[in-house]
Amino acid sequence: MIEFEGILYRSGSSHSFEAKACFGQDGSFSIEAEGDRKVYSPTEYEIEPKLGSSNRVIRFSDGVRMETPDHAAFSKIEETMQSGAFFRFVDWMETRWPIALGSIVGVILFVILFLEYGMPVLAKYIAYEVPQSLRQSMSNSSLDAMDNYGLLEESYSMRIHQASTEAFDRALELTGDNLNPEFKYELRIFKAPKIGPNAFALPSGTVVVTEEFVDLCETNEQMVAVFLHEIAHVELQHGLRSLIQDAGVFLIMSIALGDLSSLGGMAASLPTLAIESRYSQGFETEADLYAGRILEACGIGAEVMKDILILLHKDVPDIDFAQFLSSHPDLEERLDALDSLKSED
Amino acid sequence: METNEPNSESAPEPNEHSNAEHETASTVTPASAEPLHPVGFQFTGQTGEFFKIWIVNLLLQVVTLGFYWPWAMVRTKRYFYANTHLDGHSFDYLAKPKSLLIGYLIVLCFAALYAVVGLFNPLFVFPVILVYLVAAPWIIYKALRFRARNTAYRNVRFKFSGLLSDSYITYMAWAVLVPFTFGLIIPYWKMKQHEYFFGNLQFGKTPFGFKPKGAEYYKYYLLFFAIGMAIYFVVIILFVAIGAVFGYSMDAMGSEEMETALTIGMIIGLVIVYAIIIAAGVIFQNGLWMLIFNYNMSVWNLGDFRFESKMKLVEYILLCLGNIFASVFTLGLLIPWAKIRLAKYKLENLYLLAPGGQLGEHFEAANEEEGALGEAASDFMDFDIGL
Repeated sequence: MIEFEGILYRSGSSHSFEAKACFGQDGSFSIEAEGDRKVYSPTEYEIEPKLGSSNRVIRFSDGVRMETPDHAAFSKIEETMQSGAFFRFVDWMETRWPIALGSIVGVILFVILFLEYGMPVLAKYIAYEVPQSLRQSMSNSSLDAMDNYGLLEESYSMRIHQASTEAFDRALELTGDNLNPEFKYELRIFKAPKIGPNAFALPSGTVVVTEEFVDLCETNEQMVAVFLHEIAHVELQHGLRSLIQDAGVFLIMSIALGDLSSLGGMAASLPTLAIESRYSQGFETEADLYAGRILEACGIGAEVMKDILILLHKDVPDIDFAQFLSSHPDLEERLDALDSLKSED
Repeated sequence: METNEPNSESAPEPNEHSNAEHETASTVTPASAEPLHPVGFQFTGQTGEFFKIWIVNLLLQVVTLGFYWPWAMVRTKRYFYANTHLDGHSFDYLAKPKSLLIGYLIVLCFAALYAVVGLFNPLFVFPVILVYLVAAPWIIYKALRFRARNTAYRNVRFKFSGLLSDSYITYMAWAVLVPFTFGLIIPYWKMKQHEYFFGNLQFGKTPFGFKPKGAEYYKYYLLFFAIGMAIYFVVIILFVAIGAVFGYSMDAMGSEEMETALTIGMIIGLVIVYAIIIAAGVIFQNGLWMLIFNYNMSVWNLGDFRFESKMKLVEYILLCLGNIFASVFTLGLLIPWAKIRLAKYKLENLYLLAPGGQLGEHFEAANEEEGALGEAASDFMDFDIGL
């Protein structure tokens, strides 16, 4: 027998009464208010889970609600019960400072582990499961979008077509049998004065190169080096993976910072961009090394990769303080990474 | 039960504006001969206690990749409702996490659809947006019903009795007019939205009354439009000034040290501009919200009972600014502190104006309800998306 006092509200009315409750060994509640007495069997009531220090509430099946500040009585009652164990555990955690401090560490740790390991593994898995037809339509639509913005113009130079196709074929040849047969490799050449010297890969296997880039290259080998870098992006599905990872970052950021208003969201945009850049820089280094290894193996040497990186870099200087927001690692880092290949051998 | 409202002895000291409201109140409803006295709301939530609840629920959400959200949401809402008191009785949040889960899954599926469809072709998102726009008034209607029905005070539920067709008129028909009126209709539209919400609410069987005037909404919007423009020009001038100093100095000096110093100066300048933009947003959003909320309370009534919100513009804006910067600079750790502080300020400036300062019989008799059991069935049909 556990007794406690509280306030009782009848069904559908805002009247309140002083009431006495008595919890029997058979799990029933006997409620006494205004000389009235009623017994509720264990299936006829529901105890609201405990929450902080606010009053305990029981709801009865006939709409009566009883509220009491007697936490001691309720913890005794709940000791006899099976149900509600999960929320008793949650409440146990919610009322302890060591757990709260541990939770801070837990949230940070989980977010870091998820961003560093969980998300990349997941994204890699999904990226390779995506059907080629989806890759194809995605690639086409991003080319169309660039076209609509007026960034790409047809290229009519036979010389450039010949030189780049030759280099592209050679790059494909150098990768040998390692190529995944699912991807459809194709070279597209455009004149793009607004973009400048550049080459990029789309998830389907389409590699785009600008006339300006072909003109920049001093040797054919340099072009081959860059194509190998782009082929690496396709083979390793960097494009799709970064898309999926960025979506994951957005998801985890909105959970972790879900309580902030839209203005808080604005403040969160910088860390989000920093994390996405970190992923992107990792992919660039990976592609450099993939190309570098093949160049070393076939005797051309990773030096050409360094040469073309330096050449490309002349046009776009690094901004030191914003490096952590850049999609590519800075030049020195990329050159050092390529140098480390030599010591590997 | 007696009110333990601290201001009750010093008598109501309403400003001229709400004084006028009281007079109209007593003339419109001559039944209440007794003068209205304020009964204050109290908020007893505590920062430390809520912090522990918040962080544990955040951890559970993060490790379940967000699927714990409905349970966390219910606990958070219950905490705020249970710690809100009026006349010695607390409020109740009755929603079950499972009913929130339905709305949550709908939103998730929709977001996923939006993202995936956009990958195939960016044009494909337009039908999805269209579906969303057509469904939005229905979603709002459902959510308002859900929230009202799951809020109770003294074991009496609130109820939202607005019509679905009115939701389409309010949120779709009026929205269409916005571009044709160059946005001039927005304050009036906002008022229509508030009318739809405040005017269709019921406590038990007693409907609330809500009679706002469009002119008041235009007054507040105009005030904030002027403030917004002023801040906008300050930001533009700052941007130009920073750009000019940076550009000029770049040309003038070549030494590396100077360049570093300049870069640092540039960053500080940008951080300041960034902070000003955030502050401007806070002032604009919250200041406007607060003035309109104060006004709304002055034209809202529940039978003979009226409301008054005494929030002060500068106090409220400073509080919101403090909250946002404290939350950002502690990487979110002070969010619980900010939420408790905000709820406390809002509620402890809110008063129910009761005839004779007593909620008493009057209040109780007016709010008989048909019984909570029958209502549970329709609860299943409504959902909340928690936005």
